[in-house]
Amino acid sequence: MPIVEQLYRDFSDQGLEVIVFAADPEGTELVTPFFESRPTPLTVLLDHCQVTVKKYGVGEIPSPFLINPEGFIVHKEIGYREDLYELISSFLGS
Amino acid sequence: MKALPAALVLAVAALSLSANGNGGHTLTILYSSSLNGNLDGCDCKGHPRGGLVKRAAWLRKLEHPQQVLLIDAGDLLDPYPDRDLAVAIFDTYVELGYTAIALGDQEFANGLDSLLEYRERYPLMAHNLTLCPDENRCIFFSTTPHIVERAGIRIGLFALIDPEVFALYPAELKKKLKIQNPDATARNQLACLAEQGALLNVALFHGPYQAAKELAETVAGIDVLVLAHEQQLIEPSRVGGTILTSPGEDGNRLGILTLEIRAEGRVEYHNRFRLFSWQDDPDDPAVRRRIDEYKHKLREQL
Repeated sequence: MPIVEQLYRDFSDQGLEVIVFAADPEGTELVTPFFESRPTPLTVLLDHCQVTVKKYGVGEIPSPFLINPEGFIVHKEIGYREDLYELISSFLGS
Repeated sequence: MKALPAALVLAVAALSLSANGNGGHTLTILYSSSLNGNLDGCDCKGHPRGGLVKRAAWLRKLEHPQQVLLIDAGDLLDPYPDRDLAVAIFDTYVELGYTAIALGDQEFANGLDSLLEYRERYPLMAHNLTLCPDENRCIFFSTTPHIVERAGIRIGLFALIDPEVFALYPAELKKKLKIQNPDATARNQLACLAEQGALLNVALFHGPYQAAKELAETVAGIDVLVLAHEQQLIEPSRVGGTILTSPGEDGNRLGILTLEIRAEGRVEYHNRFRLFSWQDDPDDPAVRRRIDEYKHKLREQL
């Protein structure tokens, strides 16, 4: 989350939007208090029935997707990587 | 049981008069637990075990297997590692038509990598478990609640594992498990199942009796809760609105729970346990062959 929040802060003026799908099995009972105690500039959507998990075959977390303005997925990661900021910013820069 | 709108109640009653004559439905749930690796049985004095080989013979004689719900509350495997035995047991369960198997702690016996393979191949469920095989990724063990249709009823199914069952497991394993709160997960699953039109909710719970009882008391909306882990036979009883039961030790019994679901939503039940005996019950020939193959492989390895 801190890396993604940094990406948002650095690139939102260039049009980057970040949407977080919170698909935790405990649903709103966990997600709501978590984000209330830790506010974020990102848009958080509660996916309590894990619809996106199933639809996009995302069995692992985190799984960041980068979607271009035309609506195509241009990059997908499975799992966390230390250099996520550099990787995504290279796409945004190009 | 979810309350039905009046118009829908009338429609269901009209469609299903043939089902039980009361304008509702009749459903049989067959449930087992704690096989503990007993693919074969044993006439051991003081500790007799029927084995899956006997249960399989009985299950294959079912006249309408597609009309019953066949489930297990976990601990199919022996607590000691044995990959060949694990696959032989899981393959048999799939062949017999099990719809859902709760993940028990003994299913970790062959390590996390094997468990991830089993997760892909077999109907194992644990909706409140996330596995983190390494520092960089975590995997939801089960995603989305499961809905099946039997005897004209949409049945919601989910499984929970209690953190307590891992109390004696090594810290190395425990740090790779994230076990979400069973109560909160159950409430979330029930909400999703309601949105998807489930009319009956069946939960499998792998953990202590006391925790299952508290779950049934705390969380409304679970119609049937089948329990395993403590190897204890629990005759069905109502806890709140939930029918709580466990067939007990060593996979020796199959619970046969018949639900009469009235048009107005009330659920009546009766239950019996079928106890399998090494001496008196016939073998299933296919499972006997599987046991022979397993033993042959074992002898070769030795």
